[in-house]
Amino acid sequence: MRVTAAQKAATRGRIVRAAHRLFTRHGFAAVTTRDIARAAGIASGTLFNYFPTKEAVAVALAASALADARAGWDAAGGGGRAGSLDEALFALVAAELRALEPHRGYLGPVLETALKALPGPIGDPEGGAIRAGHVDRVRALLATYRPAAPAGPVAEHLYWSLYTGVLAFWAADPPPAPDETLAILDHSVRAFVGWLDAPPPQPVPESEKADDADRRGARRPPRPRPGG
Amino acid sequence: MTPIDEVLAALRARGPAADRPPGLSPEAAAALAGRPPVSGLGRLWATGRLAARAGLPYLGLWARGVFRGAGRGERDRAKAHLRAAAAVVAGMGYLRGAAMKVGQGLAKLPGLLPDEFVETLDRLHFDAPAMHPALAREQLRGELGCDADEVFARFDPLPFAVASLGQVHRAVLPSGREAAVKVQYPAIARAIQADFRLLGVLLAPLRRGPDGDRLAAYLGDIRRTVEREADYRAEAGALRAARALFREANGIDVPRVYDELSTGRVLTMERLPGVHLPDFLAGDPPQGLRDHFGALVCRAYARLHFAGRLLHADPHPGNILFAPGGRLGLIDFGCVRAYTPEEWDWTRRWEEAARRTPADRTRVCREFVGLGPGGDPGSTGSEPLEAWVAWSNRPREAGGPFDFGDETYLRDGVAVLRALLRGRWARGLPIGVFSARWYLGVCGLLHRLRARVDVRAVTDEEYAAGVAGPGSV
Repeated sequence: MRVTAAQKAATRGRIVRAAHRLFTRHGFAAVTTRDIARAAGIASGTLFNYFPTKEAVAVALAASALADARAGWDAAGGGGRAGSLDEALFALVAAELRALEPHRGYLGPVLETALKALPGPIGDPEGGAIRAGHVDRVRALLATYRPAAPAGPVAEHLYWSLYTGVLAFWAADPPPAPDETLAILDHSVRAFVGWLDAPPPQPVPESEKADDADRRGARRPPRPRPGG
Repeated sequence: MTPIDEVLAALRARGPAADRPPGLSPEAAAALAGRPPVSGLGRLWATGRLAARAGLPYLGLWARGVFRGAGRGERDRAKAHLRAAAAVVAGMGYLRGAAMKVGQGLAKLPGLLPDEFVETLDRLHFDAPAMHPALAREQLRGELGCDADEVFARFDPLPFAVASLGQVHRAVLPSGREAAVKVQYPAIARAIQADFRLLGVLLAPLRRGPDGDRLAAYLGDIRRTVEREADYRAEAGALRAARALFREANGIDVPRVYDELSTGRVLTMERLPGVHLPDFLAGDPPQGLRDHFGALVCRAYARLHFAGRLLHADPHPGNILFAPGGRLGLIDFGCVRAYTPEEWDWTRRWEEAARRTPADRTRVCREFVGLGPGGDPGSTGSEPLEAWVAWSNRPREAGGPFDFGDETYLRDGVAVLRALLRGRWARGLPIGVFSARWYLGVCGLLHRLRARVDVRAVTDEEYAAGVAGPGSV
């Protein structure tokens, strides 16, 4: 029997909803793919047609929540009305954290698999989409607020490290007090913007390079050998 | 700004500050302009870097070195290390205000630390990072459990004033009443506690010195004061206590607290009308109005003192509003502390002595700092104490309105207080130092106002009502 796209989407929806219920009730670690399949009313093997691991199910849940948050953020102006880049970035992440709140208990595995500092393996479309969805918005904000800022892989990697650091802090068990997460997020955003705004390192003048090399002994004449 | 700084500023200030909002220091104005005076994260990182570089065990070593009393070389080395420690304190995340207060406390215990360390501490000042609207809203949401728009008819996302550890926003309640919402910077209380732990380790060896117990008492008092400032519930309690002391006919207003919209980190209060001192002075008020408000300032603080048994540790122009109709508004009760029974007993003894002879006053002061009639005042002699007693009583003895606009009086007071602190006279309970700073702060306010106040009439009335018991005013 041929399975239609609509049927596939419905089954996928049943799986993630069942997984969310089970993760919330029993904790991520205690739930197996077999439990999820049973709760979704499908055979265990069928689940793997949709998700290779239970971590992938968690990533799908987080991706869905983040997509909703970002859509809302876009609809509210996409940070264009913020007073500063700091505020726009803060508002973006804060909106995401609010959306992720129901999924906090299993965000750890999501961070490990899909949001780690090093991009995941090729073929991880869900994790890639989560990352791209966020980074695209950060790029747009940089283009708006800091068109001359040093964009590129270094800036993005630095930003991503801070962003995932905030998520990891927020998702810790036991969870931190809400205002602690706000403070960490505020400091992280200020760090990134401070780095962007810092003057670039000045090239060392040739004369100082020579002095420095002298100090290190690079150009020091060889010490005469005894008897030489 | 500390009372002494405030007094000195008062001596310099001849008119309103033209280029910043009323009641705001330059740092506060910079913060409100959206640019924190110092990068929060920069401080955070600097703390980690400096602490890691120096290392606490190392800091313990240098501090102990001060007291070994070894050779000159070792002392010099210890001093150099103290300077390094001052740099660590300067790098502290949020505790620079507390560090400043610690510095002031240590300055009252001369000989404990080299001057450069105390001076470094003294130069430090507190600033919490400014919150942009998104952060303030998130903090409100976390505290109140819903968006600002759900509980206020209107909420201004931009602050109109900076406050202790946070900032103040205008809002309108669903009832239409205007409110001031004080929002604390997130997690600052825990950061302060962590900084205090670091400071405690840093200063622990110093407690072995000759004034170690008093140093510990000062540090404890400062820590409790800063922690109280971080707890807006405590401030709400002080507001309620102060508000209960005044009647409509007194012409003095204290804002009501809206408990249902207040937490430990959010304080929603009635927004009182009025302008701050610089704006009031900008209108070139007639002498009669200056005198009227001067008497109200004097009465307000005397009422808090005697009837409320509350000490406002930080009286400055930003805490006072001059309202139409000649009403005075008292705001910002973050620095208010209640007297302990022991402290109140000393206060009462002092007030009784103030109404007798100079010898009675000197005797009480000597007893307060632990000297009996034959006690050795040390190398500084007892002149500074007697000078302080005479100076602080001068307005009472004027026999009518005292002109606080007279610059000489304030300059004398600064000199007397400094002489007192340079000697070993600021001992006894920490409340002695707080009271002296409080009195000088009030004098600074009255000087800027250039008010003439019959201090004896006001304080005698308030004292009589106060000792009769709360509720008798």
